[in-house]
Amino acid sequence: MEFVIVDFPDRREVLVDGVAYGHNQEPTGQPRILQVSEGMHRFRLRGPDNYVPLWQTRDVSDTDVNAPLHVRFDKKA
Amino acid sequence: MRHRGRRLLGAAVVTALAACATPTMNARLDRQDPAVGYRYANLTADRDNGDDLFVILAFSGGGTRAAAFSFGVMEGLREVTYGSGRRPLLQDVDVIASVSGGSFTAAYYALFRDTFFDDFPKAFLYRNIERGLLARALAPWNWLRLLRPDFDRIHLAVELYDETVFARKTFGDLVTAGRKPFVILNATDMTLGRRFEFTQEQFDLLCSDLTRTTVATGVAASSAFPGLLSPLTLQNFAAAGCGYQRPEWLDSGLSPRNPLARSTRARDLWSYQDPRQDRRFVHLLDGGLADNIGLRGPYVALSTGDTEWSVLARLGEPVRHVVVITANAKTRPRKAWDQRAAAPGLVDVLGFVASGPMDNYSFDTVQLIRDFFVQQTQDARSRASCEREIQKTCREARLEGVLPAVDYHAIELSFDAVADARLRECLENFPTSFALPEAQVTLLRRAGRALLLASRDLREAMRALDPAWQPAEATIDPTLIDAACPAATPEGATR
Repeated sequence: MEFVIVDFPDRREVLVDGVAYGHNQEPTGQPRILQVSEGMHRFRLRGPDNYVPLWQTRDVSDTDVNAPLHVRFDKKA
Repeated sequence: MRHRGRRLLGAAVVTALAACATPTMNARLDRQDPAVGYRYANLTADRDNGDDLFVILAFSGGGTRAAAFSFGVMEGLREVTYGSGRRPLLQDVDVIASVSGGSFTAAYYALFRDTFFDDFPKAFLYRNIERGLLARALAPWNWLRLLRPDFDRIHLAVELYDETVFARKTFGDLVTAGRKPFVILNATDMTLGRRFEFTQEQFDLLCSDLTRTTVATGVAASSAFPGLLSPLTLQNFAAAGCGYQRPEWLDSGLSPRNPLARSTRARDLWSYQDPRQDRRFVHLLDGGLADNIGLRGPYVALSTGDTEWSVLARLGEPVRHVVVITANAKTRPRKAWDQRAAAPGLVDVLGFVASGPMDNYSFDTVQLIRDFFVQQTQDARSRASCEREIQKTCREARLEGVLPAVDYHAIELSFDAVADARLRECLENFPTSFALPEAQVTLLRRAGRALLLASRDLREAMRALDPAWQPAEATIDPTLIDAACPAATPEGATR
C-alpha cells in the first residue's frame, strides 16, 4: 500500500485515475492521507479548474505511512 | 414418393431447427455510458444503511453443497442485529461476490429478496437439478438442437435455470429494482484463465448491454463445470464499436511502469477491446477455475482503485468499518487411492486436475485478504506509536496528515472450523453435485448458520459496531446429523 497527501490550499475532492477518493483535507483543515496501490496514478481535483497543473501522473512507490508522497497543486494566479 | 417423404422430413428438421434458434446470450450495446447499466453506483442501499460500514459476502463454489451452506450463512445473518434499533446486519450488505454453486444463492437473493428465505429452498436447494438437466438432454426435441454447432448443454442449463429458478429475470430487472447488494457473478475466461464478471463494467469492454442478458445466463456461466457443462460463449461486439471510453484507471494500469500484477490485469481487460487480439467471442467456464471463493474481485476493490466499486477509494470517506464474510464450502474427501498401491486411474487424475488447483488458489485468496487487513491495521498502529514517541520529547508534535481510522474484519466460515469431529468429517465428504438428499441440505444450512453465529471473528466485528452485542445461540440437532451422515465411503472406492 502507498500513501499520498494532495496539497492544495482549499478543501477539494481528489480524483485518482478518475475515481473519487474523498477530500484532500479533513474538515479541520488537516491534510488527509490517501491510500493508493503501487504504480502509476493520475491525480486531479474535482470542481473548478482554478489550479495548476490540471492533472499530474505520478509513479507512487516506496512511500511509508509516516512519509507519504506529496502531490502538489497550486491555485491559478 | 420416397423422395417426397425425405423432402418433407428434411423440411420438418429445418423448421424445427429454426424454431429452436440458439438463445442470444448477450446483446450489442449501441453507445457505452459509464453512468448506465448494472453497476454498483446505480444501486442504492436500504434506508438507514450507514455508509460507514462496508460489508462484502463471498460465496464459494461447490454445487448444491455451496448453495445450501451460503443460504445457511444468510439465515444466520438475518438473526445478527445490532444497535439500539436492532438493525439486521443483512441489510448492510453492499456486495455479494459468488462463484458456481454459490451464485445460485447470490442471484436469487438479488432478484427475490423479499421472498428469498421462504422460496429459495424449494426453488433450488431441495430440487434435483441434475435430473432436470438430464431430462432436457434426453428429450427428443432437444436432440436436433444439440446437433447444431452453436447449441450445447450449457444452453439447456440456461433454459432450465431461466424457467424453473430465475423466472427469466434479466440484469435489467436488477437495475430497475435498484437495490443493494451489488451481486457479482464470476465465471472464468478460458483464454485468459482469469475471472470474468457479469457486471456492466466488464460488459462495456465487449460493447455489450448486460441489462438484456438473463441472470440465469450469468449463473450458468459461473457454474459451467468443465466436462459436465459446455463453455458458455458470449459475442464480443467491440469491433463494431460503441464509443468505449477507457476509464482512467485502465489507462494508468496499462503503463508498463506498473507492478506486473497491475499491468497484467489491465492488459487482460484491454484484450477484449484490442483489435490486434481479434477476440470476437469469449468462452466462459466455471468461475471456480480462476477463483473458487469469489474473493479476487473484492480483493481488487479493497486494495486498489482499479474498479468502479473500489473500497480503497472510500476509506475514511465514508467507510470506517470493513467486514468480509466468506462462506467457503470446500471439502476434504477421503480418497480411496490412499489405501491401495495402484496409481489412481484417469478419471481420478482428471478429477484432481479439475479441482485440486481450485482449492489451493482459494486458500491463497483468503490469506491475501487477511494479510491485507493485518497490514492495514499494523500501518495505523505504527503511525500511532511513532506519534507517541515524538510526543515524549515534544508534547505538541504531530505527524503530518491524518490517516483515517478504519477497522477491518475477515470472517471465514468453512467446515474446518466445525468442532465436532464427526460432523466436520461428514460435511467434508459431501459431494459436489446439484442434487443432495434433503437431510444433507438441511444440515448444510444449519452448519452455515451455526458457524456464523459461533464465529469469534464475527463477535469482534459486531462489538466494534455495538460493544454490547451478543450472539444468538446456535446448535445442531444430533438426529439431523445422524440422518445426513451415513457411514462414509472414501471417494473413488467404486473404481
